[in-house]
Amino acid sequence: MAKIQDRTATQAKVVERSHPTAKTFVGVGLVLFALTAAEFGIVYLEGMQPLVLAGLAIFSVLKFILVVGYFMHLRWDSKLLTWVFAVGMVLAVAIAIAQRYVNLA
Amino acid sequence: MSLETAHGHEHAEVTNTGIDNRKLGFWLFLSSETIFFACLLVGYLVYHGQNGSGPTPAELFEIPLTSISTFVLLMSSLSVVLGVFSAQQGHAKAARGWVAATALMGLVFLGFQAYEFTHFYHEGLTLSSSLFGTTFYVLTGFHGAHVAVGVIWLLSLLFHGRKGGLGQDKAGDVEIAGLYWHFVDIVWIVLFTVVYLLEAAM
Repeated sequence: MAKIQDRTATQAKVVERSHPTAKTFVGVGLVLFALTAAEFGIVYLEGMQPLVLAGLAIFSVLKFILVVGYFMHLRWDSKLLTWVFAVGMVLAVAIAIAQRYVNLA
Repeated sequence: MSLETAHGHEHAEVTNTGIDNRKLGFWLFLSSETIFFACLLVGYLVYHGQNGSGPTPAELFEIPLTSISTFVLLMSSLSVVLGVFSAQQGHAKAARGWVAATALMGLVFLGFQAYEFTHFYHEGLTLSSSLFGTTFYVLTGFHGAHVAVGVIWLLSLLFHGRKGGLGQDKAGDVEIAGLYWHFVDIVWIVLFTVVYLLEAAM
């Protein structure tokens, strides 16, 4: 009985956070467009060279978070799904770091 | 036995997580796909600069063109999320329209990639011309293959919804296909920055 109540509470929590609107998605789409334009601009505009690496890293991470958080609904879905995806991301980054050390050796 | 899910109009199997079992399983799959693409990207970076006697990335890449195809893929992510939203709201015909628009944009992206590969091939970059050629084609080729699978998936959804559209009864199917499509999009966000833009900036 207690288990069923826990389950219902978890589901209620998921439902409670489920309120994205079409307007939200269009807004995120516009931000993604602006970030892509900014990425293009930072590469080609003169005088932006010192900012290129940091700028591209920030813009692409922002785009990644927007798509995963809003378009893939992780912002509203159960935190378990975020953890499931985070495990893959951590392993992916660990592979890249391991490669770096192997390469140096 | 089934329970109402977060959207209130689909039915998922009972689990102790409160999450649709298909959705949980699909996120596990996407997590593994992240590792798959990380391996391919690391392979590309390890052999960066090993162009042999073939053309270099700087000589080949056309950033403005790739930026357009990136924009198309990003907008396809917007259209598929609007398709999922419409299906969940019960706007079956609108959902079908958004899914069709997504498939079309996927085909446009694939067209850009086919043009790019053909152009690079004529410039002397092949799978065996250099380590750059091998890793570049494998990395972007696997991404393109994922886009192609996504297009086929979306077209099959359209086929299933050819009569009544993609309503609430099919919202779960559209959502899972949408997750896959967004994943393909975020992989490209990383590839576009690391493979193309950083190369142009260096």
